[in-house]
Amino acid sequence: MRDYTELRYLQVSGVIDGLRCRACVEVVGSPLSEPFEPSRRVDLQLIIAATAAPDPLPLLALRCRVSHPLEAWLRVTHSKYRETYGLNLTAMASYALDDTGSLTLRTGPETTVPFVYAEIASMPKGLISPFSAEVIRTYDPQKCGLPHWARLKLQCHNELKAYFREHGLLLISDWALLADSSAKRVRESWEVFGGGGFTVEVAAALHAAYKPLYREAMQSYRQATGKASGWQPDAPFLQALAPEQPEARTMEQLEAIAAAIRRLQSGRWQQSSAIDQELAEQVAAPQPDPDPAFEPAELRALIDQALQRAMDAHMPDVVSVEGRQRDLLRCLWAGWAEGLKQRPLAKRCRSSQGTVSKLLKPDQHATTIATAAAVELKRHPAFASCGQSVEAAERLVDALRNHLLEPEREGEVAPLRRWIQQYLSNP
Amino acid sequence: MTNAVPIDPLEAFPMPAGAIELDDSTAALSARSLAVAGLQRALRDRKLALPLGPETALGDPQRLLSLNRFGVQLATAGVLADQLVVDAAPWASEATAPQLLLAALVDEENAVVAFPGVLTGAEFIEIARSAERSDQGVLLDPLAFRGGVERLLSLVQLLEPEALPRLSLAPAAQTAAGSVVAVIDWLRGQLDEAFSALGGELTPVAAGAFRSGAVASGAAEQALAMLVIPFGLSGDQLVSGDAARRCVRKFQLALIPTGPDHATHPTGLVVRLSSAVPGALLPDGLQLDARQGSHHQTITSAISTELELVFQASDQLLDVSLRYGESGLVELPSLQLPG
Repeated sequence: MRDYTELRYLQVSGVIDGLRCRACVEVVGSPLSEPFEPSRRVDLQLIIAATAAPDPLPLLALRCRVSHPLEAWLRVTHSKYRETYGLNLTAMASYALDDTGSLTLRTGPETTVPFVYAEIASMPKGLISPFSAEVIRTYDPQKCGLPHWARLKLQCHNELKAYFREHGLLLISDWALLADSSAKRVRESWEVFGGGGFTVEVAAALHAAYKPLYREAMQSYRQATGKASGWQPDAPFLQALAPEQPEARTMEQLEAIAAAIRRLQSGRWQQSSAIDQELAEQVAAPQPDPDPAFEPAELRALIDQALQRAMDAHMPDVVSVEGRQRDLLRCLWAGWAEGLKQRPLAKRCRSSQGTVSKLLKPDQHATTIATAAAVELKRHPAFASCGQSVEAAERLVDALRNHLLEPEREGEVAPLRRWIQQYLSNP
Repeated sequence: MTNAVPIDPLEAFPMPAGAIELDDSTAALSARSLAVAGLQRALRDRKLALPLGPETALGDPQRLLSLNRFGVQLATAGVLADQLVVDAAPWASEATAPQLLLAALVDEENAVVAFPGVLTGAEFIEIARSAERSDQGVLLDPLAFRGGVERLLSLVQLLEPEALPRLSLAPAAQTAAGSVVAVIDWLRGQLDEAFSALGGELTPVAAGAFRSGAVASGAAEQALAMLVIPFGLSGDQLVSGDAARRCVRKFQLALIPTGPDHATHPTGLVVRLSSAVPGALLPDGLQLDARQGSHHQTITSAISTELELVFQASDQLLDVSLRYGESGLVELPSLQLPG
């Protein structure tokens, strides 16, 4: 009963709380015999009641129903990525749990309408607020259950996606995930994480049919809407995909395969995160190997000058970005120049490891600088061979990059770190 | 089939290292156009004024990119893809082959592009020879690419264009067409490099081999040597060597010089195509073609277990080819049978 009578929402204070809806108890309780569990049957009865008459209460019960899976998704996702990516639950909830339970809907600065199904259905296409209304008005019971629909809609919430991107994460829909996956991955996922509802052959065949249809559908969707996000399979799509079975069954199967892939990827992500952490500590440091016929001291001077010029040209724009991230960037670069690793750096600058990784990219900048220096050095006969062979070119760039990042002797400061220290002390 | 491992599905995915976020104006672009926009952004961020073309056809997936005078093929897949399809068409000849192959993983929903890396023509050819194929092209793991967009930008700035040759993916024997192989060498255990590249092996001439159907019964007693080349169909592509051994539909071409017992010179050659599984049917539509001077023989499989052509020694060179549909043609080097 709680699913239909308690609205989960974000309070102004930033706390997610429950709002009891006494009227909903009557709406849900009256036509239904007790006891009951939240179910598709009840959802359908409420949708019929909400569409049949301009009564806001059946719709409010549905809004309550939608709020629970949204909250569950937010909490699980937040808990999983909070530490590494610095996600904030309140910020996440502001996109999805913005329904305060009002029985009127604001349509302008001073205008409101009753919060009834007919009103939300008549609004122009596009995301409407609160998000629960958008979930309900776009819901097609032929496709899947309402809680699952809420999750699918959340996956393509543009503002939430932008928030995730800002923190170094990508929200990717089940449909794109299925299209990205090979037959091999689908088989592997289903063999390990499939629920047993159908065979791996069925999963593979459905997936094989899905990919070309998805590409066509996405092309049409892009042309019609000017967007690449938000596509959901409609009835004709599901019918074309598996004409021999009901559309809801096809939808369930696709969702089950996508869930299996997500589980497979989850295990791999945990493994690779651990490996990445270890790898970050290891840096090979080959030395430049110019033609030995030339004087080492002269070549050393050439290299240092070329690197200095390349750093002077590239780094100021990297370190001194104007805008809201200016102070964060300066803090991060200053800490990096001191030799701090990702975790203490994130702590010092009150950021997350995901953000540090996304904003700093010292290896990438070092490679860019090394390449620019190598282009200059190539004009000298001692380095001319790097224009003729891939191996020579890469050896030179690798050596210059490692020279930038690693001190030559213990106790010294690597050239790129030294450059940043000097730059930040004399802006 | 059921899963006993309690593991939560991954709801969000870490952005790949070095991923490029594009602005909202790119929302309606195709994956290819997003990848090009990502590359342009990478150039802008590094203040590199390298020429990128063709200016009016950057979004055309059939066209190679030209970056600082280098021919670059752009292969795109989804950002979470574990397999990337490389269009094999440009690699059919050296005239059209790219010098570099850039992989782009594109998240169309988020307008994010990640470049896992680049392969030179030589690196691609080496990987592609043993890679799986589909109707659309060569299937590669995105992890096969390395260096991100940085490697691309380093190579096109540092190398002279002639340092990266344009290489064809055509089978080694096809590129060796025109060369001549003396069949008599096989009797001495010597195998030409072009046949080795096709996965060909000289196998012992044993009675068992004849009984298994590798040699026509009439020639069984007269076989002097046997060269077996494995072939297979990967999708509609005719492949040989290691790639053939991984195919479900695989078969073998046996070249058998024949002659009187203990002869030092072959007096004939049997060319025989059969399934890798003795007695099994060959795929329909395989065409075995051989020409010796004005003598020309062609035979095509249709519910066949084997195809066989027989030739006598002559001063004329013998040219053998195997074809499947429009997409697969393998021409063997010309064979010299002592006349």
